Amino acid sequence: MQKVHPVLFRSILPALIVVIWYSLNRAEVYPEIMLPAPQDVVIALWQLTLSGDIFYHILNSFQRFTVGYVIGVGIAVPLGLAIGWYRALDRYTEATITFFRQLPGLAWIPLALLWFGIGNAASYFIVALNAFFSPLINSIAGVKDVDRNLVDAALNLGVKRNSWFLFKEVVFPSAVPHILTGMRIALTYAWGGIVAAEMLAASNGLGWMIEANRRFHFPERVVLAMLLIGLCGFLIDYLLQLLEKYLTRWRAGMDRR
Amino acid sequence: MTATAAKPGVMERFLWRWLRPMALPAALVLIWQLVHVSEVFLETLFPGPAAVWLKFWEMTLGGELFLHVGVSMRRVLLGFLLAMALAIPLGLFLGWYRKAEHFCEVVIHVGRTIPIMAWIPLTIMWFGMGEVSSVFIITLGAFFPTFFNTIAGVREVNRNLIDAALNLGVKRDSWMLFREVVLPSSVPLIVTGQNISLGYAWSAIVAAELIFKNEGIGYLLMHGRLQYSFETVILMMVILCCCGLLFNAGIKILENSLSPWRYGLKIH
Repeated sequence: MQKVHPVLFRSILPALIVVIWYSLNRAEVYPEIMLPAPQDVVIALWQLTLSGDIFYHILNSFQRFTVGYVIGVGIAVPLGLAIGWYRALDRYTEATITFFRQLPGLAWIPLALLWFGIGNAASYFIVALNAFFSPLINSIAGVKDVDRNLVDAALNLGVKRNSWFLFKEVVFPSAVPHILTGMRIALTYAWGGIVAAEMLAASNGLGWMIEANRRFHFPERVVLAMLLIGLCGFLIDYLLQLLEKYLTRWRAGMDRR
Repeated sequence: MTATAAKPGVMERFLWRWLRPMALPAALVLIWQLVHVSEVFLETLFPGPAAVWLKFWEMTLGGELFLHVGVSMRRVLLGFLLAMALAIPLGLFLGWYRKAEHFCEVVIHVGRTIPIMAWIPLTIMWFGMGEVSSVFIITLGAFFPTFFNTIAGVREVNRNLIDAALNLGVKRDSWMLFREVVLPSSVPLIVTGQNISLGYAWSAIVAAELIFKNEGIGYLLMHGRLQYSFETVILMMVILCCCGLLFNAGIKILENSLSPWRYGLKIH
């Protein structure tokens, strides 16, 4: 192990960056509008926390994110399971899915704005679409990649091929890890989508905070909003990781055996 | 475009394989047309397939389409190459020297968690709304997948290969081990990362061009919205899909030519 404490060692570079940032700001190499002072970011955080604005924006973002994400995943997973389970369905849809998958989630924004106008519906739509394809593809793959041995064992024990029982007891549980991975990937996309949606189609939320403060020339708030967006994204990912561990705890048991 | 393949074929058994995937797109276009004809939605809010096709034809003849697609492609390639030039050496370095990775860990993870769109306001403040900003955003978008995969590629070299090399007298931590064993066997993962990176670069171009007011596919998308020209918006979405498919085909070829031996290797 290294002689320096690991936490200390890891915080050298961030500290260094803040010091450089601070000195660049003090030396006025760049104008204030391009490079706000680090202490201003902290002050902005303090002010916005006191006024409650931060919680307002974060809650709004989370609300939009949750609704859109649940809609997207809620449609994608059952659909993916069905496509994976029925081979005919897969053959008919595969090319179409591959085609639409190529479309970046953000490219739906103009269409969403035209159809739904500025408001929550557009945000839900964008987030749902951003959260749609990875769970869909991973559910399909999850069903298809079921361990042959497990299926054969079930068949030998008298379970009928194509029966609901086989799906419920064998196929679905072994697809769960795949689905959860897809949901985690979708989380990143959806969180990026909500930021984009709010930048263009909302009047509050973290994405709005970042874009509006650019226009109002509050660079320190832009930086603050960026860090908050990163932090919230990280937290959501962490929560889902915990969920993943909990739901697939039987997998760890198998590995140990 | 997709509807053309729905014509009944002569060699039906041969065509079946090609027709079947076309059935759903054809059905979608048909439904689209029917909804359009039945005038459930306003004409301006819901143009039919024909209008989009006409727009495509008009933009192709005018050469406008090639200009915008060309601009976007150039930016994506430039940003992508720049990202690769940074991500691969850096990833190899951090993968090889574990201490260096610990040193940069916090900064990497903070950088990774910030979505690409969130960088845009800062980018505008720094670089304005021009070419530099677009390339910067694409580079940022394309950087992380390759970077992480390169680190993983170096880390997850097959133990047996390393042991074999060590047994044959290669020194641990030597340049020779890195060049002859670690680097070649990390190529497949790096290429996978590049694959993902290209997709990210492609969506970053949309993000960048939605905001920056110059030319490009994303610009046409946003411009179409502001002008309430639905045909343009839908056409651009279709073109984005097609370009994505093209890129995927391109990287497949690249993948196979860069690491032809990898199918024989068991890299997990």
